[in-house]
Amino acid sequence: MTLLKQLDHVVVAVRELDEAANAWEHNLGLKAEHAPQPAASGVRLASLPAGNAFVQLAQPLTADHPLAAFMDERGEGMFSLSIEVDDIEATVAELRGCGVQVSDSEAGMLEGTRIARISRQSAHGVEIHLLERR
Amino acid sequence: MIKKVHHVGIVVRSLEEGYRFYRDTLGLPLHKEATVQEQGVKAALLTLGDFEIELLEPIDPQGGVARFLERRGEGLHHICFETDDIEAELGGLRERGVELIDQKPRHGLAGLICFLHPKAHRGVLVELAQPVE
Repeated sequence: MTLLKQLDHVVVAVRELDEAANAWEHNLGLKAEHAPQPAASGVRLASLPAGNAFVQLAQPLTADHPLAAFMDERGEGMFSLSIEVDDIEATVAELRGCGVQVSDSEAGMLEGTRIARISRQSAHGVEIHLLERR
Repeated sequence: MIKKVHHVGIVVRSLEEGYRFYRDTLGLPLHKEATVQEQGVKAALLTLGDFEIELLEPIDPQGGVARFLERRGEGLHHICFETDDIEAELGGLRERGVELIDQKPRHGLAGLICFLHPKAHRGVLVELAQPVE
């Protein structure tokens, strides 16, 4: 299996996006690309480019959002890794052929992307999202 | 200055089990494996493009990684950014009043490394690394 290309981004779940973005910029010089925008999918996002990939701070706007559930259980912190692939359908099929549980692909939070989720059980507790940019 | 995301660290119960998924199923080549006594782990770096995934298996039941595994189970542990001057980076962090775990760089699997306190980034454990060849 050689279908994974590169890390695209790391999602960090936060309760207060502006405070978090200030800390990342103040401490490490990682600056948000744009002013944080509310996304249609019920989260506010700030993308901090870091060379080969970006850190995406994500604040859920509703209590039933998966990111809110994650923070209720574990607190603020790293939520997921998004790994870019060329062909998401082929990657999903190949992983399923290896016995990995992967969701069907769907539209991602970021415009022009499709994602599929590898189950945490398969990935040793890590939420891995396969991501295809179109 | 931060150059890139060097790796993310993932705590696993055993490297062998971790290899089965990350190396054998996902196909990420093993770059290196070593025991890092002072961190209480056996650690491995696997390559994904210009980024790496670090698997951490606790070997010291009193160590931080063992405690993480006990408390939270397997999963994402830290994110490491690459810098080409870790001393300068640490100096800047101290001046800006950032809470640190390591006051001085030490040797880790990724080179000269240091950890910042997770409080500094609201629950995210951040590591800096200056690779040494």
